[in-house]
Amino acid sequence: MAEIEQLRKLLIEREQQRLDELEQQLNDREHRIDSLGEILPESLQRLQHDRNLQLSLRPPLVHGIEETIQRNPKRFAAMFYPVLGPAIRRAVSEALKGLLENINRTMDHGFSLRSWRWRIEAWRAGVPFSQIVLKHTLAYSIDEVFLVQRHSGLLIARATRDSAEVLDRDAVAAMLTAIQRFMQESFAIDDDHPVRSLEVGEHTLWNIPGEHAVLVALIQGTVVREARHMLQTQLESLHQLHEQLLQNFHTYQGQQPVLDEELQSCLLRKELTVSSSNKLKKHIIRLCVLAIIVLGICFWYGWRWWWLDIDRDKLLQSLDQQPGWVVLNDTIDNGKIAVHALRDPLAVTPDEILTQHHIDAERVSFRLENYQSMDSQLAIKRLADAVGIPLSFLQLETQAQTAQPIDHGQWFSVAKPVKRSVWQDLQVLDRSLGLQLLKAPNLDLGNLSRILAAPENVELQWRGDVLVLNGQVDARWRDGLQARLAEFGVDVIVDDLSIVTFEHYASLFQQRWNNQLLVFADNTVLNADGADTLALFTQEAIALKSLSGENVLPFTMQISGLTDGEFTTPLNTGLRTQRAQSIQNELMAAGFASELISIAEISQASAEDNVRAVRITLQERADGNGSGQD
Amino acid sequence: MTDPVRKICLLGSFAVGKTSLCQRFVNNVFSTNYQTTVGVNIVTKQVAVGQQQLKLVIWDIAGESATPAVLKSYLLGSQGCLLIADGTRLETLTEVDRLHSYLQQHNPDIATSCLLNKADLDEQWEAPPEWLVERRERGWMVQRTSAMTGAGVEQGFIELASQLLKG
Repeated sequence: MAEIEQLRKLLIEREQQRLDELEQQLNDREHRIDSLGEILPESLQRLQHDRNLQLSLRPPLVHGIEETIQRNPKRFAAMFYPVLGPAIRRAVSEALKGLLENINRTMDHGFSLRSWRWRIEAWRAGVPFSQIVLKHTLAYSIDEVFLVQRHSGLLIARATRDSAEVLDRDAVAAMLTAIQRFMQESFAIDDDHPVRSLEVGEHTLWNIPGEHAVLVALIQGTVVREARHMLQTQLESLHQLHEQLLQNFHTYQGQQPVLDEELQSCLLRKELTVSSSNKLKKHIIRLCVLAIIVLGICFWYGWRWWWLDIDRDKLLQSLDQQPGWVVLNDTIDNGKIAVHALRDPLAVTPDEILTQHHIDAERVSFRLENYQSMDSQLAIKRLADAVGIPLSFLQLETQAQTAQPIDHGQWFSVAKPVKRSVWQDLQVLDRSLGLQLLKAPNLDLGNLSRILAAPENVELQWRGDVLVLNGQVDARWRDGLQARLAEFGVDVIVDDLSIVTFEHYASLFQQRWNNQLLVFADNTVLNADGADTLALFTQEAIALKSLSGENVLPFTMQISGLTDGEFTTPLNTGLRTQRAQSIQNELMAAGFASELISIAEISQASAEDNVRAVRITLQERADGNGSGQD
Repeated sequence: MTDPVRKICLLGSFAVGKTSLCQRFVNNVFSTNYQTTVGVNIVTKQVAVGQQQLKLVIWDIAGESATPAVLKSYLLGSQGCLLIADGTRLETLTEVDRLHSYLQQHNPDIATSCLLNKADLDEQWEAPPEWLVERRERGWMVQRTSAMTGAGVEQGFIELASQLLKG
């Protein structure tokens, strides 16, 4: 046994020692940790792409991070700050840049006529305004580029400005090639003259042929020729760098290199920009136009205000001088002069004032309230209106000195129906206003004659302060003389002793002409004396009739025909009648009524009337003054 | 790095079912509503041949377009061709022969495969078995297909795809 043990010791002693050491290392936890720490970094580095390792490590790592963040979030915040800070700043900066760009673009296009047209277009199209602005301000934009193998139509690479993925970019690339082939075949075009461009809606497709590949660019806007040159250069560059790939793409085995990044530089874009000098000019022009408009508006309103102010001053000055107007308030509002005033209805009207001062009525508005002015002119006017006489007949004494001479006679005739009340009112006015009225009219003989309503045959004359009346008048007129003078306030002494009344004159007439004979030369013709007598009788009878005031003769006339004794009685009787009738006719022809002229009966003639004549006998009328005309 | 892409063309007489085969293979649909293809119809399909991914860009060329000039143009850059015949019409087999000869003459590097379509129409089937045997003996890849039922369609396309990868 010992031999065996000895033998084993000889054979495997070193291995046994090694095993012991290894066992000791395995049992030594600290050693194991150190050993694992030595190889773990290298192991992880080697297996960094190992999917199983990644999946295995993910849960404990995530869990550990979560727990650590929950326990000590500040520490993680501090750790991430150097990373997140710049990232956040960059993001904010980009956002602000975009915002500023939007603002600038909006400001550039915000207030022009064109911008409003674009806004309407955006509203109609239902797209954001910025999109329309971009559409119109974009000179061109190459939105998408395809690098297509020339013969096979296979898509080698693609770059797009828009992140949106087309449905099948390989099919699109192939179809672009097929379309080109189709057109070439249809129109017998050889390969040296490929289709250079296609219009598709608002886009243009550019086909830039290379030796092994073509570059197809989807363009929005009007692209410039330089861009084509740049794309051509880019395509040539791609040919130089990747000739084998482009040539053999259709047979390329295995994974193929991606050229999408290299195509990004083909996504050219150019916006319509206005140079700074042009911008400055535009701004200056805009400002000038704006300034002119503002100045024009200011000038217009200033000019209007200035004229309104002048008109207001004129108006207020005029209203201040107008009796019956009291201005309470005045303003200029909405280009109009607004006047709030008290106005006597008898004062001048607003239209009269405006017309007088040539002020446009459209520019003035009145708010008027009635009141009764105590102004003397309006008081007199009110009085004149009340008593119904023209205002010009009433004048204040102070004004009378400069006023036109007043035709009092005319005034008297107008005021006659109300003359008493006129004077009473004037006296009241006199007392109330403390004014001295020009009451005593000019007492010339004409005015007095109208005041007294003197008949034509009455003569008036002054003898000192005494008014002497001379003429034949109706007794009633003479009796009313003093009363008429009193009514008109005329205080004069009247001498009417020379006045002859109608009754007196009638009495004298009767005494003179009663039983007057008119002698005939032959049977029916008056002799010369008889004819003169008849003419005088007729004249005086007419004068008497006119004196009556009523054109009435106070007598009846009875005419008696007379004959001498040479004829027999029947003959004389006829002759008497003929003579009486001839005189009756004469008188009727002179205007006397027939009923006042009667012919006496033959029997009434006395025997002693033995003369070739007629006799006129006057008898007072039974009705006093006679009701009929004569 | 991307998966390889190959262009293949579908050739054959009109109404042999090129577009139907294409739709069945790409979208797994079939329509009895016949619509003739004008010019060319292009679709793509990502296929897996073993472990290898391959994207096929399929040019479904109108039957009426099979004139030499047009064929030449459309076949440019193509790595494979599916020659389609209608098993119920003998003349379409003749057209397949003619197209094969054309390809052998002008595009000898193109991989070809022949699909005898409309296999579901057994009663109307006219393609003689000896035609099939003879072509296979010449080394043709010939597959009976039915776009309506989908029978043999996937295999026909995949077979051609595998040829393409073998290069």
